[in-house]
Amino acid sequence: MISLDLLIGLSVLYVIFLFVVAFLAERAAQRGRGAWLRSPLIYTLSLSIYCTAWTFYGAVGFAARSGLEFLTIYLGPTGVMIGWWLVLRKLVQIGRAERITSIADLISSRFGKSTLLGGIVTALAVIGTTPYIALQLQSVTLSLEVFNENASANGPASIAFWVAVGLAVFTIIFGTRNLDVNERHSGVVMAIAVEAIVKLVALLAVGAFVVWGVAGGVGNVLNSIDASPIARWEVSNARWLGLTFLSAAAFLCLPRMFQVLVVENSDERHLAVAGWAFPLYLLAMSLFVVPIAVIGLELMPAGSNPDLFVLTIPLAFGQEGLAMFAFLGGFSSATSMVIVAAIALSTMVSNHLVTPIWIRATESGASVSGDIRSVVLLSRRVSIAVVLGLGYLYYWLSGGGTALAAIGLISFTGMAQVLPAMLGGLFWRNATGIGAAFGLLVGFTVWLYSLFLPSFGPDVMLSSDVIENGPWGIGWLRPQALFGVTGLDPVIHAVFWSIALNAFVFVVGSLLTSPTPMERLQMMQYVGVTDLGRQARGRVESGADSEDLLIMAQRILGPEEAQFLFRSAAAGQGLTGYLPEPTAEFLEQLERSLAGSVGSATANAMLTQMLGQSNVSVEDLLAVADETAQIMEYSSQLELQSAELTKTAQQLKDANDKLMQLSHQKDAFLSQISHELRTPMTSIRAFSEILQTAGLSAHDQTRYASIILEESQRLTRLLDDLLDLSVLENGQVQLDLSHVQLGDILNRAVDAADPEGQLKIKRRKSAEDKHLMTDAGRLAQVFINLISNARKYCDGDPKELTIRTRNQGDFVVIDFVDNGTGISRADQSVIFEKFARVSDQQKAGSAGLGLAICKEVMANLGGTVAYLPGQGGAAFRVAVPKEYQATGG
Amino acid sequence: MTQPKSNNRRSHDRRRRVDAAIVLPLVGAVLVFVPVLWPSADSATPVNTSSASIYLFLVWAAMIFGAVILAYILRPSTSAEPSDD
Repeated sequence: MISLDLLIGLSVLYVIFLFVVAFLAERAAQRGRGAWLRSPLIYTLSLSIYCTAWTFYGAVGFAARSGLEFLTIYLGPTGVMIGWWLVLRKLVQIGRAERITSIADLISSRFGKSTLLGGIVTALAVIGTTPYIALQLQSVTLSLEVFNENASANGPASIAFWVAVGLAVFTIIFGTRNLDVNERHSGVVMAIAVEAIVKLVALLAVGAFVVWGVAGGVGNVLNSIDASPIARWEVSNARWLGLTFLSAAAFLCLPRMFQVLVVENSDERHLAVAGWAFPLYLLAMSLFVVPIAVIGLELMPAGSNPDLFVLTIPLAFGQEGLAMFAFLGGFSSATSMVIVAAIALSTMVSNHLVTPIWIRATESGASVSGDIRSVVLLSRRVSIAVVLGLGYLYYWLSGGGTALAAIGLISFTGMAQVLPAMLGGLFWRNATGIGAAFGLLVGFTVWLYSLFLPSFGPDVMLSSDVIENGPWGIGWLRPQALFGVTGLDPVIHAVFWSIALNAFVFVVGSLLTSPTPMERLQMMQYVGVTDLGRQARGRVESGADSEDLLIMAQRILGPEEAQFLFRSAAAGQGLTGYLPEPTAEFLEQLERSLAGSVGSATANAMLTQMLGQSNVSVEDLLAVADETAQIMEYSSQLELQSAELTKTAQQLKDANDKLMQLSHQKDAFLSQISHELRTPMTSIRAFSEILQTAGLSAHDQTRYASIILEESQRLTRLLDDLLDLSVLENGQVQLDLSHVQLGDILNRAVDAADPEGQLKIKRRKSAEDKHLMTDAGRLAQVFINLISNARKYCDGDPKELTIRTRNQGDFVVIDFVDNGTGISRADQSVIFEKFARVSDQQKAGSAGLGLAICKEVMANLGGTVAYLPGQGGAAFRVAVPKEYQATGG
Repeated sequence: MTQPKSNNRRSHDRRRRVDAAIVLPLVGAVLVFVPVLWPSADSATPVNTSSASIYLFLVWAAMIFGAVILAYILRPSTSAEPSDD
């Protein structure tokens, strides 16, 4: 006999193995070696979380009770998968284009980024999934009890409890590492793929053992089937049609299925493979179900639980190894479902319940308050724990006695309520958010009343009197015979009325209301997604300050990604630096990136808050321009061309402005230079004349001579700088290339620029251990310049300068950030010009050539130096190539 | 396949492939729902579970085979973004 300890030890080992798989996959993905992690095969295997413990144990029980009816649960999804071209393809396309994070996000985003709808779907999902998680806990507990005939000190409830805790820990570790859902959970997906294989092989092994080891071949099995209690086809037509429809609907709407089908999908083309491979997986999972059920009914003692035949038949024949393998298969089915469901639900809860409330509560909004990332991550982690806690609570309340299949169907019916809103949103232009909200609420209520509450049994949630005679004795409101329809199976009854009323209210509600402008815009994105290119939409050019937007984006996306996004957007507009113009297209792009992290409704709300009233005025504008919008749909091509033209015109205008500016600069330069040369010349001349007069004391003579010396030194320095600059600008500079350590250069620069230690310099020496092939002297010159600028102009008290170093591709990036007030937006564009001095201070006799020289030096070294906005103080970013490469020509 | 075809012909081919993608699940649905027409268990000639299993698994396998063919004819080179003529 296998001891309970052995099984628990085995489960723990198995979970550790999954940890390792998930960890390795995550690391491979981070290092960019994860291409195979995103193959169609892994995608198909990840879909197998559809087959939970319900399939693994429950299908046999289902078949033993009602024959072939269990097939409906797998034929429905098969239909959805082979028809992927019709619905799934569009879902995946929209999911990618709009960066959808969950099914609640999809519905909310389609109907005008409505917070209300997101909240409704989230609540529905949490309530609908709770029984399902309870089902998994129940199946693990049941399967352990099979091995544990002498009841142990630990009751079943405590086993379920520790399983729930273990799953919560695993999910939190691998499910909430990244905030951006579009970054995908490579580790989790890989672990699920492994579990998919384990459960398939385990079930096939038990099936093969039963067919060839116990029954003695296929022929004997067919004979046994015909001799069994389920020998005749006696599936009611209503259940055959109704359950197939229900499972197809649930396949699309279950939060965990949406997570793997749409959110974790990395390539639309994987659908074509999964379109046949996943039905094949389902077929293989179902193949031996009837034989196992029939042989179990024949050989097992009467009254044994058919849900556990997969374990009890091998045990009865002394195949302990096989039984343990089957146990692991069932354990895999349960754990993978719970993990993905918890991830999907926690994303929904944090994006659609917690964050909107949090934003509303902190009235000042996203722009001022602290780091949003930590709030979102924390709320996700807490949600995971809460979701698993609810599942455990349901298990504990329901006493764990119900047949597995019954619990599963209740959950399916609940989530299927999203189907009308989802399909309507994808294909029907006139669907409105109000219609969808009422439809969902009606369907949800009918489901609660006719299926969920009665499922606890009479007198638990609903009194037996209400179930028998209806509330207040009103017969046509009996929960399981609404409108006097009696004789229907309770599940089919609930599916029929909830979906029918839901769809009816949705359609009528949509016809009676008209969509808001925002809904109309979203409708075009959704209904037309396969036929149209994307169009700019949404916001008018506003007074939004790009720098504020950057600060907010850094909080949500993290500094690197936000800076990259802003920089490439600026480059797309033909600008240099980090601050693009806040055009409608850019805001749209920004909003979608944010939506990938916090959901579309929240992202929209944050931007609206930052942009003030502008969004409202867009809606007003759009209401007027609605007719035009209809036409615009068909002229996206034209628009594209015109956008191209506008861009070219903008670039021309920029070039022209630049030329004008240069011409002005040249004039200014000439007058500057004569001024800069003249000032020291004047004092030299004046003091020389004074020296010529007789009768000066020796002391005065020395003083005047030293002034002359100082002024002529300043003159020399200025001329040196000018000469240097002209050499650099003409590219005639001779570089003295050598292999150097970045840290050494920085040490040298710090010593030279700040010998008296007026600046508090924060560095991380370990990060500076980088090898460069460049001109050390020139690079040091740039660093010295930046450090002495901080020393001269930083107004922090005490003055601090942070030097950060990191790798970025072939470049080493060094940021110099001080704690002063920074440089104003207007000045940022001129500081790299010659003779630009932001302040009027004439400290240290600088002529304002320093940064201009830095810029030229870096250009000669093949790198860049740029002002980095949004860092608190003045910040400069130097990018040096690791290996200097001479530019051709 | 390797010879260049006229635009007209290509778009016609494409439409046929898309039609196939729509027809397959419909045919599958009809075949899966055939049991609705079977006589009930208490009739004179009930259907055996064994033959029902064989029928349903064969239909299932046929649908999978159809989906394999579909994946082949809709592979990326032919299903590139719809740009009718």
